[in-house]
Parts: sequence; structure tokens; C-alpha cells
Amino acid sequence: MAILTFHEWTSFNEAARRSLTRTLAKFDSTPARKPVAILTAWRGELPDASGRPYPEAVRRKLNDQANRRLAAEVRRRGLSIVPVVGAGQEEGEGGVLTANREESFLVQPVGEMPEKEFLAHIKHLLHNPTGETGGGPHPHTQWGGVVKLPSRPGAFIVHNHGDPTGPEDYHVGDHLGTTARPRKAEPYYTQLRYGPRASDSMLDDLDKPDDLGTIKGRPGRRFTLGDGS
Amino acid sequence: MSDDLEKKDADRLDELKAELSGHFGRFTRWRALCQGRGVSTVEEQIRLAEEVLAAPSTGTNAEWLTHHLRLKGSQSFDVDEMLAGADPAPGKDEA
Repeated sequence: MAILTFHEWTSFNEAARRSLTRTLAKFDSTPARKPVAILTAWRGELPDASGRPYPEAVRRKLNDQANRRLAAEVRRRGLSIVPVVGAGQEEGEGGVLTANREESFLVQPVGEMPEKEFLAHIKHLLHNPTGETGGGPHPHTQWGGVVKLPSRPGAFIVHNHGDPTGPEDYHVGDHLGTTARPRKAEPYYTQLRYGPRASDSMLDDLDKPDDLGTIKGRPGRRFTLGDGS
Repeated sequence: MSDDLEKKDADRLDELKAELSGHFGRFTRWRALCQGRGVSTVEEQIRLAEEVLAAPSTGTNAEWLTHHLRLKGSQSFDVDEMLAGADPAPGKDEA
């Protein structure tokens, strides 16, 4: 057996973490070994104490701070993190598409963890992603997140039903589908931040040079969850 | 209804649609609500648009995607019931 130096080991480990195939396998319909979730503390609408929206630069700064605290909360719970970008493209009036991109995390247990325990962590993190004191709701309380459990064939969104008062309110699910595949034209996808860049078929006219996760002019690889192939 | 009133309502609805489109997720939420409640008249569409604009929203992909799936006919289920081993009952329309 070859013995790797620490540098080699970290290189191989990082390469594996970046692999799109490996990431897709986390969401595959065949039983995966561990549960996985996609979370963020970012909010598109972030009002100040008076209810007015923060200016865009402030919103982004506060969202970044919230995500750093979310990352700490995730690790404190014995979960691992891979940074990704979550994206959605809403069709508005007249068919005009609006893109929304969020700094997000793929979250999994470091070791073995029963899926009920994992889901309980996710519910807590959705309700209080930044570890605030008090019962909430908190400034960065989330609507929901994506979850895939080993015992279930498909990924789903777990979310609250409006005005959540605690983690227990996150019990509503909506099926996303049983397949994870490279993104083509789907209006929602997850984008890897590092590693090889997206192929042309993963891109569209809404991509901008300064988008999240875009390095040297191209975004990272993208995948989408859904039904069919 | 007179032509003037109809024109006024149609203009108001256009304004509201433009406003909804300016807040990520709200336009889809409004469409899902209209579809879920079988709303077809302009007056009802205006009322629902005002309701959606007044409601809190996270403006996140997860919230938009929930309404997007609902618009495509998805029915919600109870995650806790699913994990408890029961067949999860379809949830009520949460849009």
C-alpha cells in the first residue's frame, strides 16, 4: 500500500470533494450511505429593524456573516461542509427570467448518524442558522432546505408553513425527484464552487462574469435534482 | 362593470405583477395561489397579489422552488409522518 504525504492526501481528498460524480452520488436514488442537505443562511429579503430592506451591499455583507456563523454551527453539530452555490431562475411577468444565487453548503454527517438525528439538526439550522439566543424567528431564519435521506429514493424540500416558531415547524415536505444529473436548462441547480468549470451545456444567457462561484470567467460545474433523465 | 373600471383594474393588476416580479419568488407564489384557489377574475387576482406583497418572504431559492413545484402540481407531505414509517398524508396547500 502506498503511503501518501499529508500534502498528497489533502490533494486527493480535495479532488474527491470537488468531483461532480461523487457529489451526484450523494443524491442518487440508490441507497446512499449518509444523509445530505443543502442549506444557506442567505436571504434575498432581509429587512432591518424598521422593516425596510437593507441596501444590496449591506444585505450581501450580512448574509456572508450569517453564512460564516452557519458554517460554525454546522461543524459544532458534527457535520461537514462543502461550499456550493444554489441558483434559481424565476419566470416573471412576460416570461422574463430573474436569477437568484445564494452561497450555500452541502452538509453531511462526519461519521455515522441516524437520519432522524440528522434531520433534527437540519430543522434547528433552518430555524436558527446563526445560533442566535432566544426562540426566534431570527433575522436569518430560513424557509427551508433540500434534504436527501438514505432510506428514501428522492430528495425533497423540507420547509415550514409560514411564521415558524421553532424547529418543529419544519415538517412540510415537497418532492424534488429521484435523479441527480448535470444541469442543462433546468431553472434550479446547485453549482460547485471549485474544481473543473461548467461545460457549455450547463450555462445560459443569465450567467454574468461576476456571478458567485465564477472563476476565470466560468462558473463551477452544475447539477440539478428532479425526475427523469 | 364599465369599460373604465375594467381598464383601471387591468392597469392595477399590471402594476402589481411588475411589483411581484421585483421580489424574487413572489410572482410564482402569486401564480401558485391563483391556481390553487381557482382564481380567474381580475379582482381576485388583485386581492391575492396584494396579499402576497404584504406577506413576509425570505426571498430564497427554497421558498421560490416550493411554489414553483406547487405550480407544477406537486403536493406537500408531512416529513415527520414519513420518517415515522407512515404513508405521509398529502399536506394542505401551503402556497
